[in-house]
Amino acid sequence: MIGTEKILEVKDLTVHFYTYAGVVKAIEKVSFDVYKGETFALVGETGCGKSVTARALTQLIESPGRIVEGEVYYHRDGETIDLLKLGEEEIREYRGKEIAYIFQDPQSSLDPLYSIGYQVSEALFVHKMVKSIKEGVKRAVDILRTVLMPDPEKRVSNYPHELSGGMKQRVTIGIGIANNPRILIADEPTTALDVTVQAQILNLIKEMKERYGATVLLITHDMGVVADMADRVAVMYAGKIVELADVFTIFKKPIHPYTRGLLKAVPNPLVKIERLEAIPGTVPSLINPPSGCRFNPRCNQATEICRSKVPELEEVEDGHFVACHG
Amino acid sequence: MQEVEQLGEEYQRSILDRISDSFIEFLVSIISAVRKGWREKNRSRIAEWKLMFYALNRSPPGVIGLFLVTIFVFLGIFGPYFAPYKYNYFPIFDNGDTYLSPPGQFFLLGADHFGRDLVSLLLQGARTSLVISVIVILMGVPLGILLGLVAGYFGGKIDELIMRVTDMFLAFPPLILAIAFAAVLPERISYLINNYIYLQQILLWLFALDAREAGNLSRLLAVMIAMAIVWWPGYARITRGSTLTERESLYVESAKAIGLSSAKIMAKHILPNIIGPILVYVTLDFGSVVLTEAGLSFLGLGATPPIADWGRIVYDGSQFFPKAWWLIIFPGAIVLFDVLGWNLLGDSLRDVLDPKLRRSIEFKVKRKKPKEERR
Amino acid sequence: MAELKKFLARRILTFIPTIIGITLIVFAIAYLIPADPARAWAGGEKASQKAIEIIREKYHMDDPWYEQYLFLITGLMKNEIIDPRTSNPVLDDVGKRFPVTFQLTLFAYFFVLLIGIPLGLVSALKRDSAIDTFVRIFALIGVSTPVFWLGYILIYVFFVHIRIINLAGVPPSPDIVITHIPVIDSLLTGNLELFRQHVARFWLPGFVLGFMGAGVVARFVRNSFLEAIGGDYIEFLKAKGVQKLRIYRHAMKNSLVPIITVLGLQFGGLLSGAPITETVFGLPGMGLYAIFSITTLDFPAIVAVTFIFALVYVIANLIVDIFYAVIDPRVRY
Repeated sequence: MIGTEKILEVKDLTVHFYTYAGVVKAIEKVSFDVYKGETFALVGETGCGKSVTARALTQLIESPGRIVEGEVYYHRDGETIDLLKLGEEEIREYRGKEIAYIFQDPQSSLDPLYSIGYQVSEALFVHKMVKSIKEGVKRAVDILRTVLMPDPEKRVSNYPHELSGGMKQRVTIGIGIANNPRILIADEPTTALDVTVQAQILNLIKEMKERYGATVLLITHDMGVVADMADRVAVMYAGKIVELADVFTIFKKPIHPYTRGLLKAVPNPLVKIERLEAIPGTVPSLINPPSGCRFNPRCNQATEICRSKVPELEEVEDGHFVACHG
Repeated sequence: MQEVEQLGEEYQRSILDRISDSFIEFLVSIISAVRKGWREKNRSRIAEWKLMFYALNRSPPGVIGLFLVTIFVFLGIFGPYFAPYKYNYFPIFDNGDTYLSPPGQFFLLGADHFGRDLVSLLLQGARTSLVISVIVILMGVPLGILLGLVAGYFGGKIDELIMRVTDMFLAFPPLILAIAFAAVLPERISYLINNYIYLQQILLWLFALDAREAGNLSRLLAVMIAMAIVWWPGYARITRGSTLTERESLYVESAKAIGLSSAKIMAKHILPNIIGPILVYVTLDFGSVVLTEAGLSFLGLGATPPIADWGRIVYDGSQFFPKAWWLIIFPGAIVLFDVLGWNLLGDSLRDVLDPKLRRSIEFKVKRKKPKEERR
Repeated sequence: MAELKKFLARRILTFIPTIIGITLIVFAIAYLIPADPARAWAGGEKASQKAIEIIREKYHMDDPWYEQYLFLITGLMKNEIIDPRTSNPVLDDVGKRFPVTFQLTLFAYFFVLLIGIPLGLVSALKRDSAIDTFVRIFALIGVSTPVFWLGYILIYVFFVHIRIINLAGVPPSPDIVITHIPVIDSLLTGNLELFRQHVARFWLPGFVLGFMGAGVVARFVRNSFLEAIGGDYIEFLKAKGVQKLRIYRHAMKNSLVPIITVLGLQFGGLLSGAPITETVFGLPGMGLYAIFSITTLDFPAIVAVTFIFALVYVIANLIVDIFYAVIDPRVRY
């Protein structure tokens, strides 16, 4: 199922936020590839930079944030485009059409003053898929039906506040898939939802992926979701990727101490463990990150080199990358 | 709690900070003189106050506002004693040329149609303005807070009743309502002033007036009552709003659970938690009280000559406009600066108390520690 | 839409208790009227006992309070309360002054909108720029400036020095009455000369009255627009690939909800400031009439003016609420 054709190549992506307290180095030299048709997961704790990474792909970084360096190559039909080199209007045409997003909180993703039919239709209209908003609303009924919204004919004229959280997330997924995107970026799509609804939404994303053959970039902190959905996984810590491998390798043979800690801290769906352990310490400040390996203050195997030299992401076996001196 | 104190150590204190520190120390020593052990119990609160001032001292508008407010409060208290001439001394009887004499001729800022020195009138007027504003706030705000607290805490029918009455008052343009009450009240309350000699004495003392002005006090009192009538509903509204949120909080639940009386819960638990923002609002609001008072007296309500009042000076001076421009420009500018001071201070205080903005100000305050230390 | 109708019905129903509340307070004011205005109306110290008694009876001054209330309210409704000074039904006198005040308020409102909204938007779009600072200062000065002071200064500039405005009287109303607001009527009937005269007489008072509100509105527009543009749904719109102008439209509509509240409040603020502006510019409106009534102890006039002001105020608030419900579907519940 995993193709060998790259659809996205991210190289040295670096984003800084210039705040009054200092420069927050949100992500530093993040590089990874995404293959066509796979589900690629970015995992890590809150504040590790996974959302920033996802948003930076289409320049969705707001002031005071800035993409400092890096390239994002997007391959389409033999053509290669660096998404970060595009102008404001050019990149806009990719967003929502070729690369669509689903955000964490459906509650605040939708504009409260417009009907959901309008908002789905708008996604079609701005990419010239329909001639008018009115025409789009008719299409919106079909789209809402595909995301399993009950009674879509009536629902199109509802406003966001009239829907439950799960239904709102269906709407945002509907908006995401409206233009049949090639890449769907789901940023913590289930975090804000009830546990019972979470599984439904994940299934829906899977189904949409299969139906439209899209590539999914999944951002989550939930290892259970990763095991359920992902083909390959990149683990992020303090703005850097520390380990990248296919999902089985990550769960069975994690190498980086942080990945191992992370897996010990959550119930591991693939390996039986006796008890859950927390990783000691807290996430470091990104204004003055620790020198060397950013994980060294919390790592029980840290040596002198870990404090002085930044480890590079290296391929230790086929398709398994680790950034660790150990 | 300890952390706050330590944070305090990190700050680099400027001269302003030292002044505000000694001001707080002064306040604290007064309180601890009355209540033994208060200082020890409230260490963190004192540190918090100092911090608040540090942040305020870093915001130029706040400093300007504080400066203006301090001046006007000072003038309001001591102004009448600095005044070169008494407000009820009429030079025109000694020297006819003082009639509307322009600035510089006899007096620095000119004279009014009684030949009175404008500087003296403005100084005396500072007292009138301050006293009226403070009394309006002292009458209106506690009433509003009390009603809002009761409405929000008990809810149901009581809430409904209080808020309906509040809405009734809010259905009027504020100044119009104040004008109406200030117009009809004086005759009704004049008997109060005539019958209660202590009230009369207190008012005369507050306004720094001679006993022969007693007959005019009812009009001043009427303006204060009229403005208080207009002012309380706003406070009832905001207090009720914040009480509603506090009422649901766990600490109120637990206070109820251990059987504290409603009055005690309101006074000891809810009020201290909502009073901060309300006080900031009072600071912001003080300017509009001053402005409204000036407006009312400009319309001929409230103070009557020879009582000096900024708005009234303009009202009387307007008959000689544009010739006697100084009778309008100077009192108006004084009102502007007074109100501006309160608004600047209130604005900055709100910023200081807003956690988000507060942090950004505190970062400016904090001494930058060498970064290597953390590594 | 069905919800909207339900909301309107409900909102108009709650309007009734408000009106009753207004009459109660107006009555309280009337009740507080000095014990013996009858003497003043009957001719002061020399008034005959008989004349006083006739007046006391005519105005139901010796009846219990509820009868006085009924007398006052039915009197106001039917316009049967006679002004002791002019011997006209009191609402007739007020009615003559109403268009002046309303026209003044409209001019002021025009300035509030014309200055406040664009300035607010510009300062939001050019955040932390010189314009932004200017708006902040302007708003602060605006709320701190005494209306009478600004009025006299501008009179000094435009009347005493440049002599481009006049301060005497009020231009006549056009012969054909449509809205009762002279400036609108003269425009509608194509009487441009009269329209010009009205504008010439009212623009400066309107500007002075609107000055305070313009700053407040500018600041408020700025803050709500910035808050709207910082909303999460704006980010989602960007992720959807929506054009910049269209995103601004979403932000505008969202910021409109709080802005409308403030605009409604501003209308009340302008009404409040009307007496001072009318006094400064000698406009014979309701405010000036009320102030004059005070000095002549003409209390029924004060009561009537207060009542009318409150009525206009609550109607303005009602209109705001309706706008609100039209814009924001969440309010309709």
